[in-house]
Amino acid sequence: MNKKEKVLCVDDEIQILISLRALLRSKYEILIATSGEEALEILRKEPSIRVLISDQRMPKMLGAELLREAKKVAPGTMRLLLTGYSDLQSIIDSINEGEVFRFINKPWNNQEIRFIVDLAVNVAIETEQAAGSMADESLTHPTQEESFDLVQGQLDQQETAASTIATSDHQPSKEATRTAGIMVVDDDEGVASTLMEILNNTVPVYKAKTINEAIDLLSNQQISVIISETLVDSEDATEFIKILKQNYPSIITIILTQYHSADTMISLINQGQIYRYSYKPIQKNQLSYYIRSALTRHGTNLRKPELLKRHQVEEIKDVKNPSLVGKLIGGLKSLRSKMGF
Amino acid sequence: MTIHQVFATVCSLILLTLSGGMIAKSAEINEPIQPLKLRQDLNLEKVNLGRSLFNDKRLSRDNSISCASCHDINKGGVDQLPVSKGVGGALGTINTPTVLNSSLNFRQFWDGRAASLEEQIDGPIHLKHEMDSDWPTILTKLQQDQAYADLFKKLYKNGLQSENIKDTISEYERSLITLSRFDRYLLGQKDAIKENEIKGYELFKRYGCVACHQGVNIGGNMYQLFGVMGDYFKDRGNITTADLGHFNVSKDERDRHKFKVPSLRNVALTAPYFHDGSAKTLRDAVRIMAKYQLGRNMPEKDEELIIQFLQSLSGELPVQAKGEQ
Amino acid sequence: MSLRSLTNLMLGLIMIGILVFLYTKVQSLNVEDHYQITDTLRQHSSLNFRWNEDVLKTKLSLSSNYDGVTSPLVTLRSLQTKLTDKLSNLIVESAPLKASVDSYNKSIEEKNKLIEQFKGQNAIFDNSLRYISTAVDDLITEVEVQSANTTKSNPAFVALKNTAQTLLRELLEYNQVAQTDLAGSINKRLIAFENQKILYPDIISNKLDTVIRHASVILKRKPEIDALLATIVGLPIASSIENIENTYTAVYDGRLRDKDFYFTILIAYASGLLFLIALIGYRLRNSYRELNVVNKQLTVANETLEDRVVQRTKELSNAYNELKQSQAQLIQSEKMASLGQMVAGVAHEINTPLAYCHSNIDLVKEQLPEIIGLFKEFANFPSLLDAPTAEQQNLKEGIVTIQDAILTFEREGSFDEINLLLEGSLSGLDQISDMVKSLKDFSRLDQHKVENFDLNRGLDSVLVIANNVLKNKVEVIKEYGQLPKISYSPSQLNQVFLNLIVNASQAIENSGIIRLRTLADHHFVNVIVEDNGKGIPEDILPRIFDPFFTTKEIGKGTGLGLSIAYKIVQQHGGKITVHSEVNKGTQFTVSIPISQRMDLQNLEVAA
Repeated sequence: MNKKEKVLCVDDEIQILISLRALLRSKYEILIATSGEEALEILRKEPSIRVLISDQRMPKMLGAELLREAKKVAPGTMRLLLTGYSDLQSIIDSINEGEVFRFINKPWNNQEIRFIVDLAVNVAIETEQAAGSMADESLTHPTQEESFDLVQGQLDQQETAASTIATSDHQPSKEATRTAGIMVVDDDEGVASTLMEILNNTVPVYKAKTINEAIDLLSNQQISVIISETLVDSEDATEFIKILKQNYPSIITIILTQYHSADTMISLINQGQIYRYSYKPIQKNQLSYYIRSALTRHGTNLRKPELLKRHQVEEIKDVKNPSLVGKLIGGLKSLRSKMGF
Repeated sequence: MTIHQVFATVCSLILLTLSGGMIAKSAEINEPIQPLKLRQDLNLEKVNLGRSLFNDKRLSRDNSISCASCHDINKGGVDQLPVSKGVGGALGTINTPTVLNSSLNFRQFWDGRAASLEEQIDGPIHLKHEMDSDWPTILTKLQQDQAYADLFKKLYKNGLQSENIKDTISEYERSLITLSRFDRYLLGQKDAIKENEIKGYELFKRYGCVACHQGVNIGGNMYQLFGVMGDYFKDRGNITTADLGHFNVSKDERDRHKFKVPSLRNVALTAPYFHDGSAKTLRDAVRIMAKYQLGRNMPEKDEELIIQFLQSLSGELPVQAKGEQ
Repeated sequence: MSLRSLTNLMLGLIMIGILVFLYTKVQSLNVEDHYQITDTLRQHSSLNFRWNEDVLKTKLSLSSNYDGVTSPLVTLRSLQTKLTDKLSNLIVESAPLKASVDSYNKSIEEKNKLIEQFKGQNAIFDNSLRYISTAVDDLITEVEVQSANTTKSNPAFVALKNTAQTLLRELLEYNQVAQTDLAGSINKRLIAFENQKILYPDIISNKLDTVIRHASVILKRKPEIDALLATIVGLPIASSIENIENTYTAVYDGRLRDKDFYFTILIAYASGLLFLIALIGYRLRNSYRELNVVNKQLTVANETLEDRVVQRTKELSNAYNELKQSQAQLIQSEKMASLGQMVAGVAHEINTPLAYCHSNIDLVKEQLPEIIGLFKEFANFPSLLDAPTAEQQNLKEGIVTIQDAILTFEREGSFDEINLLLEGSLSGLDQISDMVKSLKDFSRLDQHKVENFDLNRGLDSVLVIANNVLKNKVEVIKEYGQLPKISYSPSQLNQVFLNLIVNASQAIENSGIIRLRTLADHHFVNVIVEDNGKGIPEDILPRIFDPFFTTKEIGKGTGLGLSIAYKIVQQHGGKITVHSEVNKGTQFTVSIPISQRMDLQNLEVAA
């Protein structure tokens, strides 16, 4: 037997750690910590900890905080968060700062945890190298003062990257190599106008007031980032997001919503691996920052597509709108063909 | 128009009217002396109250003299002294005239200075040698007498006041009328007086005594010079202020030695006579009168008859005047 | 009294005053008085006339005494007084009238004086006149006697006799008509007589003297008396009276004219007033009409007002009900919020043990088949033992397998692990049941009412509920005193204490201490929740019990917790006080009276 991969479990409740260890030790080397501090220590010391499982509610350092720090200390480690307590802010922090991979509800299903941990470990191994460039990304996040030219430069890189990625016998159309734009899916104009103010015509902005429009736009345009509401034109947009991610994982999704639900957030991570989540209205600066990060990430992903694995999603549960799903898949297929994927 | 002409016209006018008047008055007695009439209109309560006050010595300063001290109705309404004695034995200046029938006099006092009985009361009250008092003092004294206070309150609206005292005393004095035998004679009772008295009356008229002593009060209705036919005062001498008579009031030279002619009623009771009280007897008085007023020598016989007549002039007080004494 | 009504009053008084003035002016002329005056004047006139009559009568010896001449004065005096009285107010007005009255009075005085003179003079004159005949007779008789006595006839005597007779004749004539030359003649004779007196013997001369005297009187007095009479009669009495009449009439007429004048003015004024009153009446009528209209409007408005009031009241009561509902809702939502908080905390507290219990048992279940498999292997052994030796290989293999499996288990610590997991599960389940029990204790849902309870137990249950807020952050120090059982609503007071403890814990930023003290005195049971957190600033302190007041961010707290706590404590008849110092800590004291009557009806915030 090879050396077991390392999984770090963090919880202030010993019993949880005992349970987790008992659950996982047969396959993995289980490291435990009862506080965030302890966990970071271990992360710093031990190389190649594949997965970090942390409880949210811990004294001194919350789970979300730990994930954020862990991302800096060990960017390659996949991050899982145990939630038994729907603290919305913690969840949002986990998404935005911690870039959590999966939320695991307490009480959990043992099989599910095994599955998720297995998946996470594999992804961690596969993306070990590429994960390093993510460190670059985190270091080169432009400050707010810097213009989007830098981003533009990166976008140009994306173009070249895109053209090299594309299969040789499939010439991407000129249009396909055009600068990818940002789609706003919202029946409220405000977001789009704010966005346009921020971008100042450096990046195209596409507006979709309904999901159908969104799908159409997707078919016709190159979209790198989607900013979406969860309820658009009285339709639940989360499904759309989830399906999108499943089939076209390179698109970076930012959720901008006035409807807050912990369950939605958790499912958007587990099944949609959204990039960022924010309440409406969002501060201009904040949005600008998110866009920049998103575009950069998109670029990084284009250069290192294996990183996309780190954002794979679960099967969609509770499909509410099958026709939509069908349409979407159909549309995406055509998109795929355009993109040459 | 000359005085004569005026006189003539007036006389004729008068004659015309008088003729009628004469017929109307023919029923009246045409005597120079008129009989007394008793008054029916007196307020008997006032008379009684007046009597009390008339006899009340508190009207004098030292409570020693009352009106009655000098005007004693049992002594002919006088004190029968030449001059009266006032408070502290002060001698008067003039003979006291009688209170009887004084209400018939046209004025009071020898010099006629008081026009009414009420006015007369102020004289003795205030004179130093008479009662030597004043109304405030009298009122203070009388007010302490509850009986007076009540009586006055009953009779007068404003109770015990000086004018009310005067009024009530006067009312009493008005009741002092003396009906004499002579009055009865005049009223028709021919046997009321003796024959000599009748003769005396005739002489009284013939001599002219009646010229001044006439009327209802047998005098008391005119002033006359004392000493018409001779200078009485020169002959008597010792002229005093009282001797000046009415002159003291009018300051008219013509009024010097003029006196109110006194009433001869009750004259027999009111010796001594004349203002100076110089005539002790009636005879003396008659003689002096005859000499100085009439300029006549009266034989004794005539004097005697006249004196008898004069005595018939004394009268009786009516019951109402006497009261409960 | 306002200025306006004061001026009105003054005005009214003035108007009435004018009316009264005019009326008095009109009335001032008393007709009765007028008649009396005219009557009196007539009386004066007739009296004076009669007086004159009397005087003349006396002169003419038609009257025998002077009473008739004296008594009129008394009457006249009273008449004079009467006249003066009646004319008194008129005299003031008219100088001519006064003058005429004064002159009349003077004339009367003059008359009186003259009459007095006359009386005196007349008496003397009369006597002398009456006696002169006798006196002359006496003289003549005496002369004759004397003549008879002497032989020779004395021519003097004769002369005397003759002269005397002549004198008498002349005197009597003179008495009738007082001619001056006659007077001269008489006088001459009297002078002659006077001179001749000496010539005669005394007897004669005495009588002569008497004659002379009386004759002189006659001579002297006659003209005097005549003059007096003339003067008396000539006195301008009648004209005086007439004067008075005239001047009086003038005044009276003037007065009449005045009266007429004032009367006219009065009429005019009165009509003016009447007109004014009519005007006022008219205006009053108008205003009454207006008033009626307004009144009607008011009545209508009143009625509608009633309706509107009813409506408004309905609206208001609706609003009030809504408000109460909202309040109830808010309270409910606060309750829900706090409940939610609590429940979330509790859920989490339960969740965790639940998670690992489930996991553990699941794991054990997973491993069970293997273990059972081993047992089943064992179960084969007896049969294998009985099997032929060749198949005993299986037995060996089987034993080895089992041994290996056991060794593996032992190596991996699986048995221990199973124990551990199961023990952990049991303890986890215990935790859960503790939590449930605490929940029950806390909410006392099974007991909705008041009961006698030990507050300390209640606090303990609260601490369990609040555990997830407190754990690892706050150290709880319990200083419980002996508490008597008090009757209170545990669900409510527990809510209070939970609120205080949670607040205390939230005030503590990193770590701190919450001190729970309970103690009882004679009247109260006191619970003190003390923390060493960041404290409450002085300016905020008075407001902490205000509803909706919170220092937390929007959405993080309803601000109702302390106000509800306050209300609950109040309903228990107790009080809640706070002391705080910034950066030092806060102390809440809840005092519940030991014997209190709770307001059961108003347990609004019942669990």
